[in-house]
Amino acid sequence: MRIIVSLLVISLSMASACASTGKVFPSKVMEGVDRNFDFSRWRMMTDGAESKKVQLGGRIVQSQVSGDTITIVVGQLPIVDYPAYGPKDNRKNNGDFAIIYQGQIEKSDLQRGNRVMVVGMTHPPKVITVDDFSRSFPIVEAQCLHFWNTQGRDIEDFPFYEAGYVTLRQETVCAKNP
Amino acid sequence: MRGLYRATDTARVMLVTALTAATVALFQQPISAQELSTSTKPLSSPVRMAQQVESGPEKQGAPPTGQATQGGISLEDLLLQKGTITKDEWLRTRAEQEYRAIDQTRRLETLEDWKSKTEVLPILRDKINFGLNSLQFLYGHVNANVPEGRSQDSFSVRRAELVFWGKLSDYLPRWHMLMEFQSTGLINNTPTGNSGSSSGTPSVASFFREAYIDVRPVQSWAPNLNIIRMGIFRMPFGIFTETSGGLRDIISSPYLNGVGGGGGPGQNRNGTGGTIEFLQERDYFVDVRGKLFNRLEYVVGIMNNNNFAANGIVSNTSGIGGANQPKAVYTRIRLFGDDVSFISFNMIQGTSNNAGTFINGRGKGHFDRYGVDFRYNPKFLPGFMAYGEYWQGHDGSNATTVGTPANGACLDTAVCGGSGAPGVQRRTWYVLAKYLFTEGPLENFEPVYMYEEFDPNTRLSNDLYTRHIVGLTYYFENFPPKMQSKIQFNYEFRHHSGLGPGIPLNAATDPFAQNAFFLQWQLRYM
Repeated sequence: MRIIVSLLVISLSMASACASTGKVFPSKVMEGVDRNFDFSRWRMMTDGAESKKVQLGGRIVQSQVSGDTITIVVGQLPIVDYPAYGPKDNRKNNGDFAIIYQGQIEKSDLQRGNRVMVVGMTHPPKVITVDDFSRSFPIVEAQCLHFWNTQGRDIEDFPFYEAGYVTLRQETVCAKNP
Repeated sequence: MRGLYRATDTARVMLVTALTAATVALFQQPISAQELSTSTKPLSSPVRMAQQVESGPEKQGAPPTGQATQGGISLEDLLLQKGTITKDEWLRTRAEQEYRAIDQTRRLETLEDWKSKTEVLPILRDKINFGLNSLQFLYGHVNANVPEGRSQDSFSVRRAELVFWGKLSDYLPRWHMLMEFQSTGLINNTPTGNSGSSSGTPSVASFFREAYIDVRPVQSWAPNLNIIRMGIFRMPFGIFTETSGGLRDIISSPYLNGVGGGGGPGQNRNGTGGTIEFLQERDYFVDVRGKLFNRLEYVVGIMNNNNFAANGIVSNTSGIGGANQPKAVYTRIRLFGDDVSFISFNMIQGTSNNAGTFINGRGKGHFDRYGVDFRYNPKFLPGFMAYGEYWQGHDGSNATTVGTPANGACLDTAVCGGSGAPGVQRRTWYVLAKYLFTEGPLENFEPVYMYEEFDPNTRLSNDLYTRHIVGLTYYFENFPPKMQSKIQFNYEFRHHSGLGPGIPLNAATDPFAQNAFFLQWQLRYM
């Protein structure tokens, strides 16, 4: 009993020490991010817009791996602080964008429906084929990506998921030469 | 005269044609300009792309009054103008076009009507969903001697569970129900009485397994105070108890959820025999759940401590709950090292009853459980996972097996029934390790190993249950937590050292003293 209480006290101390705000990217990566970035305006005016460092979140619609280049088409979702930090489905079609990442990503992280957040530079649009339909998507060239393996569910649904307890697998990857 | 009529007709047609041409040309001009603009700079502007995409469905609607040629005059107008078709043919073509346009408009209206009806369906708005939690077909073989008419081998449907859930609003983020269709039989309770009383009679069906409501009272308090959950569900006691049957790594339940019985020795005065449910998988409860500092998850709640079947003995109108009143509080604190590895500390405190109960092996009196569990899933070796639990706790005196009459804590079975065993401290632990191959010839194979011990009475020697489980799983489809189709093979090396001093054990008939193997197919899709 004493051992358990001691372990508990140690854990609480460790938790306090390790306290974080739930943010997923290192502060260095976040330097220079445009905090007032207007996604809908950018979608409409990517042609003339200057390249900016942005943070965006969304739901994976499709991904393509070609060598070391990974293209992820994402349906944009607002990033919220609660009930759980990250992109939250607001049941609206906010528009899509595409992420281009140079590097390797686990197949499970790229599953359709997974939540994703990206920090990177905006670029002019490119034509990408989604479900046999070619469309032009505004591009974010990723410096870092964070994945929540939710498979279509919201982040807040975890870990008390359906008929049991399921921890939500997450992953952060950063490009070697951003 | 005829010539005059013809001239008038021709003039009318020419006038109509000219007007049509002018109108079409006027309306076509900006479209042509846009198309030209797009074609000079293909796919350069998402604005134009969006317009093009959005205009797609409109093209399926009513067509223009004629197929416009490059000059802005419809084809039939041009043909009429050149005298290739007669006016009758021109009129017929126009009539057909108008009919087609009306027909398409009608179809579109019907589709719109259906769309407006279907898009409010609860199943399309996340209000109501359903899925197959697990469907398991099991072949089992146990080496224990069995009575005449029974077999060591069996085919069975281990689980046939459908799950229903939904989100009604941000404040009611989850409702949930789970039905277990393979076990619709009736269950005894433990009646009040002594050893001379008749045994319990069937009182409730076990068809209904889970139902809970989540409430998130203040959005901005989440995830620190995430949800208040009330109902019946898997209890937050360690790892196995809270893991859905469709996501478990071994076929048998661990000894901490249930050991003994099944044709083995019955309850005894040492408290070492009969079925013992050290931790119930489900119960009726209200609790608060949240996460602090993004690392420390907690659960604090109160429960009946009477198992999942106990709903049947509550009188909803009189308010008499019998043994079903809330009797225990529980807490769990789970510290995360990363997103999937953690260590947890669990505690249950309260009382237990041995009459009107649905839990085996509990006596009447003070009740407690303390547990530590951990899970380690390294990022550098994602296929590997190890986890384990250690639990110990007291049961009250005069423990019973469900269905056996019991009436209090005294140890005189002629007066109080039950087992006559004093209160005992029990202890159990296990460790499990597995590795999932994600590439190569063994891709989707997962070897599993588990070792566990259960000591039903820590004051006595020679009563230990031990088990090694060696298993191999093959995943046909492995996208947990939503989908998992697999075949599992487990071989269990079981040992039961005895029932404590003074009580002999016939190991030949004790299924927990004999090896066993199982083969199970499972489907899960939601």
